[in-house]
Amino acid sequence: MTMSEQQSKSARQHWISVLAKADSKALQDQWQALAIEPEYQFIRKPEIGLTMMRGRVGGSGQPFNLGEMTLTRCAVRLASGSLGVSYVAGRNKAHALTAALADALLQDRDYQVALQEQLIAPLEAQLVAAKAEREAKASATKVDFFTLVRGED
Amino acid sequence: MSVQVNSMNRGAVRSDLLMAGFDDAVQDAQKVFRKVLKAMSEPGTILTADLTDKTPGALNKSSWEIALTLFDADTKIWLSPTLAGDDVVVSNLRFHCQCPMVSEPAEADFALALADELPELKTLNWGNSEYPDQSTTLIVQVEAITNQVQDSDEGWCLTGPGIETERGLSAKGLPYSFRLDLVNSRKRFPLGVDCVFCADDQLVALPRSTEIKPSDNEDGIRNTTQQEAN
Repeated sequence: MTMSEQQSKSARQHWISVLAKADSKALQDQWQALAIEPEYQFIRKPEIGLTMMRGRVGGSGQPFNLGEMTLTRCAVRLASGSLGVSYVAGRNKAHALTAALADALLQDRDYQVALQEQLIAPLEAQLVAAKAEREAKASATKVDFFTLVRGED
Repeated sequence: MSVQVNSMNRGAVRSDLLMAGFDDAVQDAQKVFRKVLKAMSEPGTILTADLTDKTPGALNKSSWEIALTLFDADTKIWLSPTLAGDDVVVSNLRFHCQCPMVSEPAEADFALALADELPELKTLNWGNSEYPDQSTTLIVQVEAITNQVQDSDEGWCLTGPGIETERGLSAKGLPYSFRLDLVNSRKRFPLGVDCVFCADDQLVALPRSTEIKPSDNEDGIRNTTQQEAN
């Protein structure tokens, strides 16, 4: 794999991640504001299923099955030939379809820059803000435990 | 329906080769399942499965639809060399069915083969006495299937469960040795291999419970079976 392929792969991983994690309503609003209606064909219609999540204790222990989660996935092919896929947590088929369409369009150089600026960047900013807000709320309740040194002697 | 993200196979699916499967995955798979069930319970009955427009590579409509219906992450698939070497076929099967591919026919739950690339029948899994149902199901793409056997060298006369009296069947393009093996395989019943023959959008099943008699002008097979019966 060449350097540029690697870069474009990680760029795609990034936007797929943002599209999947974005708030459904925010995604639909941003998408409709763009007013793009690409011609597409379903390779896999949005379908809901379960996937097993696996974890490792402390990130390094033996993998174990954490539990199943609901997942919606979709794959579309645009008239231009590019294939977009999406795997989205939850049961929102419209979200999965929009995310797949956006993924397909983002692979198209004509749309990439505009979509990065007008779709991915705002959605990512919202994700970052939501995360910061949650962290701020959590840190407000933080308790520092400390042990007094006992005067043993 | 369960979405299996972790497939046993990590081979690359080429996204540029993917094509659409069923329009309506649930309804269409049930329709085709119903046809396969009818074909299996009434051996020799020719049914039509015509729900898809395009098929990947060398697969014909009926075998592609059977694959979409029956193959999943729990069924091991063996493909005959031409199919296994075709990225279009492999990528689409992996994407739509998530089925693991095996290199030995004996390990397979389903073997999908072109008529001129059939594995020897004995290399497939015939099941065992405790679990005869664990055998391989063989799906074969043939040139044509017909119930008219009068002028055919490749005709069979079928009798057995699901057939009121007898039924003619001819599947064009099957090698002589395979037809011979298939007739002889009936002696090991209940062990054996169930077959489905696919031609374009038609399909016909030949489960192991069906007795096969070669039509009259097929001397080789008839003589062999008679000798062995004696």
